[in-house]
Amino acid sequence: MFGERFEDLTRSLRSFFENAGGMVHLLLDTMFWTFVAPFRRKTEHRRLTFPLMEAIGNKSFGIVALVAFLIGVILVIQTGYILERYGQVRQVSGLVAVTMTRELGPLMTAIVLVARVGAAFTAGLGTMQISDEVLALRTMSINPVGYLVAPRLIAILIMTPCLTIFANVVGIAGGCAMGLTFGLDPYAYIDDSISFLQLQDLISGVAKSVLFAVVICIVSCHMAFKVEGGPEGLARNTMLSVVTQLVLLIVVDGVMAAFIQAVT
Amino acid sequence: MGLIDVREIRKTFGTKVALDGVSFVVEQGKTFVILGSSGGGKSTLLRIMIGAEKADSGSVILDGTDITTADEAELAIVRRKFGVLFQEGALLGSLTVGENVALPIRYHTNLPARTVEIMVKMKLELVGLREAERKLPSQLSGGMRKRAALARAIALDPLIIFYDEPSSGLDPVATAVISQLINDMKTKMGLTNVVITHDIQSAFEIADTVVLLHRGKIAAQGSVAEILQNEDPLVRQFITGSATGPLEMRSTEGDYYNDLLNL
Repeated sequence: MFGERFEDLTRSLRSFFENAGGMVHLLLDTMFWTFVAPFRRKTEHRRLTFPLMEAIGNKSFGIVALVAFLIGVILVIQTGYILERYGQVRQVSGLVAVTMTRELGPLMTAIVLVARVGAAFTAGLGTMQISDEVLALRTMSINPVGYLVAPRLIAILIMTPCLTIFANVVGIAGGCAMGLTFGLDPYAYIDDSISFLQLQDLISGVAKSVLFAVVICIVSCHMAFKVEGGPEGLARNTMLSVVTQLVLLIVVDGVMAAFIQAVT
Repeated sequence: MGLIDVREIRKTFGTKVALDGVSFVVEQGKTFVILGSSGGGKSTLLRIMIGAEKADSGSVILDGTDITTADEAELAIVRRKFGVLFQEGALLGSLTVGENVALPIRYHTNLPARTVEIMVKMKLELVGLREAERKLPSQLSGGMRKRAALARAIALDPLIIFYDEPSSGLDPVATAVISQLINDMKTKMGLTNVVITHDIQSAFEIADTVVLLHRGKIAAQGSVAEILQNEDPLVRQFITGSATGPLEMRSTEGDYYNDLLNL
């Protein structure tokens, strides 16, 4: 009994460290193929990145807008009545603006991208892995990290901050719309939001979104390259990929929050 | 020494021995067929020969380079000397047939786009697929996918082509077309073919040399005529496709009665 549990524990620990090591290795490899290799050899980045930017960014604007708008609305619903009790309902605009730009804008955008893009990366590249397409690239002397992962990283690095800034604006608009039900003037609401916001709120949110983009890309691609055992393995790794991305997003978010708090 | 020199390759997966001291030489400009039943070690041998898997011991010298000890940079160079036709084609699903064939050319040369286009048309014409240039792999039949994959494999004019089960899943006519193409690669283009298959008929149509792998070891080796005259019961059973003989399909490990009683 104890022996079996100990064996399970060591197996889980070994798998954890193997995955962590694999992700760090993939991250370093991807950094090389993204930022160094294009200056040294021929790559397909330019041709591959734009369609990916469209898939990641343009096609996510709708769902990001919907989620961000509702988050803005919910924040006002949840906090407005308390502030109203103290005659401070006007403060809700600042609360929404700061919460959206510092925390919920980047985080909710990243969560949408995990579901829409991270899962698609793992499923798509995992299918390529089990159908020997990744091996075919290798046999053509085309590095799979350079051909498959680097363009994805560039695309998601560009599009995530754009989506995050868009989510911030839409979230504030959602709060403004809900503020009407508390009798708040929309012009005054926008003015208050802008006066509350500081540049560092925006910068910290965008910086977080960049790290979130790296987490989504590296975890999803790593789990795809580890797929084995046919469709069952693909389904298992896609699920594991999404769960790992979500957990890591929260961990990175917490570390960043502590770091920003410490330096400001 | 031939173009490919396989020496004493050994590979195990846990306690299972997949390859046990396999050695042979592939001569330039010939078609070398590796025959064997499922689980006989053929695919593992192919993966070791193309550098996709590491052998436990032994070496594969391909045109002077030992694949088993080469690092990634050396492998990238040696891999340009061969093309691989995978079992299901392994064409990139997001690219058209033409783009798939153009990919290695674009990646490894600085040729103008117009020249690449002409080369793609020529390669597709060689496999009789010029009309499918703008189609996606998902719009092709199994045989067409394999021919498109062959066009991609010869895109950079390699010395050798490896074929993994080229006739699997194909109807007799498509199988004959693929066999004809494999012969054309040798006779018209002077390429060396290494074919992994369990299809006896197509193997004998294309082979100069045949190796029969059984449980990770070479059971027989020689020309088609030599294999046909071989009196070894195992070789006879494989050639005739008989259900009874030394090639036992049923698992005989463990005691049947014990298995039942331990339920």
